[in-house]
Order: sequence, then structure tokens, then C-alpha cells
Amino acid sequence: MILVRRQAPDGAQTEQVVSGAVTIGRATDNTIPLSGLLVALHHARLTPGSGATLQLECLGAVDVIVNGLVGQRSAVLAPGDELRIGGHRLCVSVDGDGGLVLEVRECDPQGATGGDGAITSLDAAGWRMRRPAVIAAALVLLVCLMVPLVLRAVSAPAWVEDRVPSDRWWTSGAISNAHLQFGAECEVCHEQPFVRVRDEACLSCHAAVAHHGDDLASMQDAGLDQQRCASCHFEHGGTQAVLPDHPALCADCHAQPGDFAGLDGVGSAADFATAHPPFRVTVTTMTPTGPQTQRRLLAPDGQDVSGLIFPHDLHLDERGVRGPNGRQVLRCADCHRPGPGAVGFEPLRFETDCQRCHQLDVDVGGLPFRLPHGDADAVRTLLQSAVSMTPVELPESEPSTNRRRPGERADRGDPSSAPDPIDEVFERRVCAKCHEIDKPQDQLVRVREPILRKTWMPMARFTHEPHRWVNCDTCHAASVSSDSNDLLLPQIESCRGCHGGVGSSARIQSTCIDCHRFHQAKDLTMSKFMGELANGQTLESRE
Amino acid sequence: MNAGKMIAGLFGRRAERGGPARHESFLVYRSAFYLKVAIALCALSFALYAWHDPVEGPSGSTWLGYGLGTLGAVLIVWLAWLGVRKRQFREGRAPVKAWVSAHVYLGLSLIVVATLHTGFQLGWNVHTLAYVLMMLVIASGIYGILAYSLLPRQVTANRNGMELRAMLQEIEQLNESALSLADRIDPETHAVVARSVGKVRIGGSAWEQLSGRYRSPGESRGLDQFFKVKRTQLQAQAAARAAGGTVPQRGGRQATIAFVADQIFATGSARTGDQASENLQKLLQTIAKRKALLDKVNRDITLRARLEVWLYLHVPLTVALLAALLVHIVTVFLYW
Repeated sequence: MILVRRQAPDGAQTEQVVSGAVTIGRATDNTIPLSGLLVALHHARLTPGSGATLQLECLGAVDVIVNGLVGQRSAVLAPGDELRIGGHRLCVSVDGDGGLVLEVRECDPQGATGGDGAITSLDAAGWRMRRPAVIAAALVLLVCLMVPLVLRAVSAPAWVEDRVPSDRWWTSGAISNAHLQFGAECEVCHEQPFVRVRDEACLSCHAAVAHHGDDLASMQDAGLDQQRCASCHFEHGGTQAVLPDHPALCADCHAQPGDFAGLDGVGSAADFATAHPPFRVTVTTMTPTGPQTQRRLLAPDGQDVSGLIFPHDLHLDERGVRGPNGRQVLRCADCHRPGPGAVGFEPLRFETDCQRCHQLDVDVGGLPFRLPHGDADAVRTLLQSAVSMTPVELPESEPSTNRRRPGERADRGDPSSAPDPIDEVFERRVCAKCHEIDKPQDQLVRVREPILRKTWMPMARFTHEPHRWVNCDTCHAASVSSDSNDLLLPQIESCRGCHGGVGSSARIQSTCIDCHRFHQAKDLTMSKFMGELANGQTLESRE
Repeated sequence: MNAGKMIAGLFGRRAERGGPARHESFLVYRSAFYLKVAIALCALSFALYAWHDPVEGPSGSTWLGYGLGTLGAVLIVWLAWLGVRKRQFREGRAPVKAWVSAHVYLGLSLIVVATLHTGFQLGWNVHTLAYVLMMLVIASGIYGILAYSLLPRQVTANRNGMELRAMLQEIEQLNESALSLADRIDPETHAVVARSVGKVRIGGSAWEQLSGRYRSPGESRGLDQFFKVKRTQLQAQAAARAAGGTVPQRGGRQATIAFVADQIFATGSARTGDQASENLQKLLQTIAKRKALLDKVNRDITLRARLEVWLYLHVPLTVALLAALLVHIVTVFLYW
């Protein structure tokens, strides 16, 4: 028994009870006649099967749609299944008593030609704009902003941040090598949201970094108290970007030094190739009151009084010099040994650089002595004892008449009339070969202490290491210098032979900080300048 | 389409002259006023970028970077709003064409403005995400410009004065008349035609629409074959009736069919006076007409799908871009 419940397109409902098979078709002799040319005269038959099922069987060549599957010719229909024939829907269900119910929803025969299934646009094909737009925007906001914010708020551990979207996604560029060690921990520098990186964050590590100069007032005059660390040091710009090298950072003051009291007497500098003053050097000059340090222009014949006597040309003679093992050609590096990092050179020392050739041997009264170096008193004591031990050759006394011609000095055996063998060692025979000798009035002759400068350009930093492939005499005219006081430093033009300005395309692009240092104060550190001392005091409170 | 036509199409100059209402493309609206604005904007950006020598190197955080960034953000928001605005035809003070023209040219100028804003500093971060989304939006927009310049003409040519709705209605009518003709022939023919009508698919999946290769019901050839056989049968029956009311004996059947067929093809089936054959002939014409119309409709669907496909990227990407732009701006100042 099957209850057939028909619902016409206009909403009218009819019911009929059918026993046995149900036939469906356009012909009126069917159990369920359906209109529409898509329905065959005898389209299909539904036979009650075992249990609450119906056996579907197509009678003609036209098939049916079962549960949305087209082209079905036979099927077993259970309650809940839907059959479509020529646009009409037939639903199988069970009523309260367990009897099968076939609900037939007839469609308007005018529209039953299949045209309603047309998919004529992308919209009809299921494409949407609004939903993807909302989803994409929400995803962006969630993943790129919300999740990182939450993670930051709860201070998620690093292994979490490694795996999920974190504030690392907000980085504006590669972190410099120097800061890579904590580069993933954004809050180390970005302490507070929406607050620019504070200098304190930098100084928590770089506490001892020196200021530009020691003069507090001129630092303030230059407006450096208004600058942040990040005004010059730009992070997130690549591996080296945190080290600023743009000349404008220096030239904003140094191009017009006249504007700043602290730059009185300093030349204008903006570009190494085109706007850099001639080199100035710090040298020792000899004044009547003694050696004095002076800062002056590097003249071609500039001199620095060292107190040593060392003719470079003699020592660098191509034919060689007499050494302990015969003639030997000396090279610069035989005496000037590179110092740590090959920045400069080891200080010259007698023991390592001179003694091999210049032994301090003297002959006193036929006895050989080797004098110690660097201790004039010891030399004097040694010589005195040596002299006193030597049998004095008394001068053969002339047949004396005990008379003296007028004007002739009487020989009273005064030792000063004969050269003092000790002074002779100092003044002529040994020390004076290499050292300037001072003879102060009424004082003992003494060796002037040599003043060997580490550098004559303390305001610049020159590193020999990258220049080691260049011959020494390219820059230093030592082989033609006979005076050890000669300053054998190159002029700026010599440097400009290879080095150009920052924008140079034909020379090595050279920036200010290639030779100069910004943080060069001796005492004033940035911490002090900013009023933060190690013990928490401020400069003001100390004053 | 050759290059010359393409360029002519791009700039909206019609190849055919003398039309009563000369079409002015949005690309040349007001002598391409917005093109000039966009070029000026790009030139200014280029000049400033070339002149500017920031101490930290070009980046988004110099004053020029902030300036170009602000300009870019304002442009993006404005252009997105324009996209909404230009669809509201009724309220527009300026003509729609003006909005589209501004949208297109200023949108293209964003390529320059935003790229210079980045200072070519790109990486795996939210800032580059916004940039990439913007470039994708622009790329889809460029497709849109090309599509709007080239495809509407093809759509018009294909439709040949008919609306899609009319074509669909005609297909339905053809289906109905095919069914009713088939019904008048015999149940077998009706079943075949009904199955064909039931299986006919207008349009298709998004991919079918875009590619223009529609999955055919697959029995077009079967239908032809069926009709050929059916026609032969009907003509044989008609010939048999004409020859004396009986179908020839088995032995001479083939000869009869051949004879009748020759007869029919020589004189035309209509003249045979046989109703079924005439109906079959009509049915065949109807089916052929339907097929041609179906091809035309599918072509129309394809052209319109290609015309609007970019919008399904352009619009969602724009909304995503606005979100990414917000994230970009917030995070820049969050970690200042």
C-alpha cells in the first residue's frame, strides 16, 4: 500500500492509495500521470520491494534523476530519497503507521524543459565576492595583527613564536648582524607599543659608548642632546645598515663649522674627494723650554722632533748596510713590525730593532765594556768605575820652568781641560750616534728622552692592514729622507689617488667614518651625557 | 586579433567610423585627463625619489617614504571607495566614466608610488604582504582593463542583437517544439529527444565557462545516428505504403530501402506527403537550430565570464588589501 500525495503547481493537494506497482508517465493510464513533454508516455514503474523500499525501473529510453544523480535507469528507493522526472519531484517517506508515502510535487509544465538548469554566469556557478573578501580580510587581521598581539601580551615563549604568527612578522627589514642575537625578541628594543625606541634600550647594552666630544656645552650647542641613538643608527635595513656611513650625518655640522663655537678652527668637511680640509698633524716641536706638542697643517717638509737620530736613507740603502753578518739590505718591516690587528706598528725598541747592529760596546782604557741601554745613570756609574780602575796615563811633565808666559794658561792638572771619557761616550762615541744629547748648564750631559708618537693623526684612524698590498714608499718617502725628524706622512692628495667621495664612481667610495670616529670622547659617555650614571644618580642631582 | 586592432581597442577608438554616437572609452575620457594626472604623479614621485638622498638609504621611514606611503594609502582607500561609488549610478554627481577613468589611471600610478614608498625593501613580513596584495589587485585590474576594452565588442558581435534571456527562451521553445515533433513521430523518438533535452546543459562550471570548452551531453553524434536510422525506417515505411501497403519481403528489404531513400533524397521528403517524415525533417532542423543557438549562448556565457572573472579576484583582494594596509600602518607605529 502506497499513499500518493500530489501537490499541483497551484498548491492543490490530492491523495490516493495505490496497491501494487505505481506507474508514472504522461499517458493518462498511469497511476501517477505527469504533464510535460519531458515525461515519456510510460516513463517509470515503482514496485514495492522488501521493507519500506521501492524498486524503480525506467520503462522507456528516458531516464530519471535520483537524489540529484542524473541518468539513472533503475534504483532502490528508500524513505528520504528523491526522484525527479521531467522537472517533477517525487519524495519517498513513511507515515506514522510505517506505510510508504510518495509525495509528488508537480512543476509548472511550461518550465519543464530543462532550461532552468542553465548556469549562465560565474555567480550562478557558485563564485562569490563578498564571502571570500570577508574571509580574506578577517584572516589577514587575525593572523597578522591579532595573534601576534595576543602572543605579545602573554609573553609567549620563543618556541611558540617560532611556530605561529608572531610580532616577528611585523619586522620592517633584516636586522643587522650585531643585533641578530636578540633580533627575534622585538620587545628588547621596542619596549612600549607606539613609543619610538628609547635610547635607554640601546644604552642598557652600550652603556660605555663615548659621546662625540668631552665638552658638554658644545655637544648641546650642536644639538646632539636632541638626537636619539636611532637618529643615526638605523635598524632593520640589512646586515650592516645599523652602522651609519652617510656623510650627511657629519656634514650637517661639519660642512659649516663656523656655525658652532665648538668647531672653532676646524676646517669644513663634507666629502672626502671635494670638501675635506688638508691633513693636520699633532707633532713635537723643540722650543727653548723643551719639547712641545703642537697641532699644525701637514706641510710637505713637516717635522716631528723625536729625539732620535735615524737617517732612513742610510738604512734603506739599496746596497745594504753593514750588519753583524756582513752587508744586509734592510726593509721597512725589519724595524716596523705590524702591531695588534695590523692597525699600526709595534713601538720601536732598541733591543729588538737596533741592538743587532748597534751594540753599545765601548773601550775604556783598553778594556771592552758593553753598556746597558736606557739607563743613563747606570751607564755613568759603570763608566766611572771603569775609568777609575784604569791606570791613568799621566801626561809627560814638560821640563818645567815654573814660569809662565803672559797670557798662557797655567796647567793645573784640571781634568776639565782634557775631554771627560764619560761625557765623550755620551756626546760622541756611543749615545749621540742615535740620540739627541742635552747639555744643560751646570748639569751632567744626558740623553734626551725620545718622544715616539703612536700617531701623528689622532683625530683619524688609519689602518695599515687593508693597505698592506701597497708598497710603503707609495705613501712614505722614507728612502730619500736623511733626517729622522722628517714627517714621512702622505698628503691628502696621495689618499685621493685611490679614495673618492661617497658618490664616487671611479674611486673607492670613502665615508667619514672610514677614517673618523663619532663616539670619540675620552670621558663623556652617552650615559653620563644623558644624565644617567651607574649608581642611578643624575648629573643634576650630583651638582 | 592583431596588434593594431588591440591597441585601437585599448584606447577605445573604434575601427569602424561614422557611427552616430561615437563611443568614448573610459581610457580616453576627457582627453585622458586622469592619465595625465597619473603620469604627473608618477613623474613627481620619480623625481623626488631620485633627488632624495636619505642618510639611512631609501626606505618607507624617510620623510619621502612616509609621504609616498600616505599618498599611496589615501589612493588605495579612495580607489576602493571609487569602486563602490562607480556602481551607484543614480547618486553620482560625476559621470560613471569619470570614476572609472580615475580608478584605472590612479590605480596604475600606485605601482610607482607604492614601489618607491618601499624603497625596494621587501621581505617576508606584513608590510610586503600589503604590497603584494596591492600588486595582485592591480594585476587583476589590468586584466579588467584589457577585458573591458576587448570583450564587449565580441559579446555584441556574438549576440547579434539578441538578449541572453531571449536566446534562452528560444532554446526552451525549440526544446518544446522538438519534443512535440518527436512525440508525433513515435515513442522511441520522443524518448531519445526527451533524454537529449533533459541532458542539455546551458553553461557549466566556472572552468567550463572560462575555458569555453563545455562538456557536451555526449550524444550529439548518437542523436544524428539515431535520426539517420529513423529517417531511413520512416522512408522505407512510406515507400512500402506507396508501393502497396506492405513492407517488402525480407529478401528485398535492403533494395527497397535503397530505392526509397534514393527516391526521397531525389524528390525531397516533404513531397512524399508522409507526416512522420515531415515531422522528422522539422525535428532535425529544430535540433540543429537549437545546437547553433546553444553554441552561441555558451559563447556568450564564456565571453561574459571572461569579462567578469577578474572581479572575483579584484574585489576580495581589495578588501584583503585594506585589511593588510591597516595592519601595515598599525604595526609600523606599534613598533615605531
